[in-house]
Amino acid sequence: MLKQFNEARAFLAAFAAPRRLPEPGALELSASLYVEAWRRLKQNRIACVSLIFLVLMALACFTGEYFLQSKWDEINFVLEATPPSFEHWFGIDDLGRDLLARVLYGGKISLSVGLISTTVSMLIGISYGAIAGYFGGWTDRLMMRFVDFLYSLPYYFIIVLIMVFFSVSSIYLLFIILALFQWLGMARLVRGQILSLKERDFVLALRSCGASHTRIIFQHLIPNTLGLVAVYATLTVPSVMMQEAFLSFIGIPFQVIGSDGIQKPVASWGTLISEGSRVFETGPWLLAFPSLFFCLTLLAINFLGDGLRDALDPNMKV
Amino acid sequence: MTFLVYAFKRLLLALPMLWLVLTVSFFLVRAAPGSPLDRDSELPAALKKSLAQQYGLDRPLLEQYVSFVKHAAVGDFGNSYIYRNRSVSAIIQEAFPISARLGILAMLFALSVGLTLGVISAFRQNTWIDHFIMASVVLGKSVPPMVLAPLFVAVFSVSLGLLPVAGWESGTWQYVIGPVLCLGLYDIAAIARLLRGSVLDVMRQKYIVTARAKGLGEFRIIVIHILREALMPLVTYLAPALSSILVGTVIVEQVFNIPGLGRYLISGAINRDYTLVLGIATLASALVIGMNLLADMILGLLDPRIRLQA
Repeated sequence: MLKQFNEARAFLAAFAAPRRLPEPGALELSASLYVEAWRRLKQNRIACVSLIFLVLMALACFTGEYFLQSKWDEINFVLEATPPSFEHWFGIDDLGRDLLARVLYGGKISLSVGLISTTVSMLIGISYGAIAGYFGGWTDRLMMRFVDFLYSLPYYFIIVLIMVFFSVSSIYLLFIILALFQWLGMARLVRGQILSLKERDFVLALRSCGASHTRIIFQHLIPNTLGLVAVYATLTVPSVMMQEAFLSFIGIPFQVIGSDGIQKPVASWGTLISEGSRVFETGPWLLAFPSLFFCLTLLAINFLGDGLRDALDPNMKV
Repeated sequence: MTFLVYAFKRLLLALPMLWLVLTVSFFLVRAAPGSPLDRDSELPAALKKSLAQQYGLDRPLLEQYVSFVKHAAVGDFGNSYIYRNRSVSAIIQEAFPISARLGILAMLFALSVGLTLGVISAFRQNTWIDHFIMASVVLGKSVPPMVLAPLFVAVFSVSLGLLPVAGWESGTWQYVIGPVLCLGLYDIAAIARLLRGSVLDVMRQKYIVTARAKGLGEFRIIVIHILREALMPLVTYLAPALSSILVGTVIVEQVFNIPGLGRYLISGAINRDYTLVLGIATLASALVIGMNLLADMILGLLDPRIRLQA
């Protein structure tokens, strides 16, 4: 009973005490907010390991082709599917292609899809949400109704429709299409933030100085939402990568220009997993390596996103 | 009374939405290059023409659209182009229950495990149990079904020989267990995290402090005061999750070779089977919109503030 009473008192005290909130307008304070966040992130061991892992993975995927003898699309009919050996670390697939080269190249594609689509979706979502939240009223209601509408589309389905019926052959279109369906959550998040931020005194001060709407939105309001945006964006990357893998897995072919200048189906991690899953009984390594790389990367991004969230929003931890 | 007005308003919004989605899908499908009859290049021109006539492809597009909407309203999508003698509704009636069964079982599995894990880790916040559960939840989120499903087959069916490799066989448990596990894992992660967050939020509310101060038992506080409120965000999550899990079955159906809706969707799309694809599109949209409607209703019923706002 006494313990419960003390707990209750502690709770009430925590709520009654004036909490120091970082003033979003002041540059030094908001800078120190990010410095503080960075310090907290560095203390989070899992997040740090994930960050280092991701940097190494990206380095390997984007520069790997310059160090390897074999190209990702080099077919060698003399060789058959063989397990990992000293010469080919990850083995060879049934067309005689070196799996290591393919996995690294696939990583390049998958990571690019994740990064580019997320960036595009962020740009759309932030501007859209900020404009809706800042102007409020009818503009806001209309813009958010549109978001609600897109939300209720069976969007996986629409993507499949677009992809298959237009036989989209270029991977670059995939970037755009995935981004077009990914910005909705970001728009909602930013709008919510802006709605409360625009009531703060510093916005009033800016207005009384005659600052334009564009300036208030893009130079003062949006920078204050970037912490949350960073967390959300980090967690968007794995979901985009999974969507790409889903489309590749069900057999929608994306074309790229191969190392010999000819258009050919892309080898993303999703494609490799799909290929591997068809032959895993004879060549389990063909499934194992791409899956391992894909999952480890997703895991690292998820851990990093969690770490970022904890670092930027210490209240979540209580 | 306010609830009925609210429900009616939501319903009024849902129907035009469904119509809009149908229109978009219809013109998307039609705007694409190629036609379902292109594949049969060996077909004589006269036969092709009569087939086009039979499917109504020779009429103006707008007329086709009007007839599509009229028929779709009563659930008639015409005959499939690849499976020539079967109507799309018959195909859906056969395949949908299979996908639905997989999806619902997977969701029940995810709910029961996810709820338990979420509540445990919220009440043991910052202990090793919490850290362990949250770490495994992230792990579960990072292993998508397309990796899990082949792995499951490789281990349990091929190496250990415990389960059949693939197939459906009218859905006996040996055939269902693998797909359901592979489908549910991702949602376990999402549900556990969501619930942990919302339980922690509710625990900070003052009325919980009051309940404690009144000296209520811990069990009563958890079940009646905390869980009832903490389950609210789950309703919003479940509606889209349930409809997207039906799409998620595509992968699992492919790996486990299950004759569900996903298989027809893919083959229909690849073969430009207009009627089949539009039929499945309609079903999917109706599901998504219906689920969202249901979630809105439940939330409106549970929380009077929501229905007053609308």
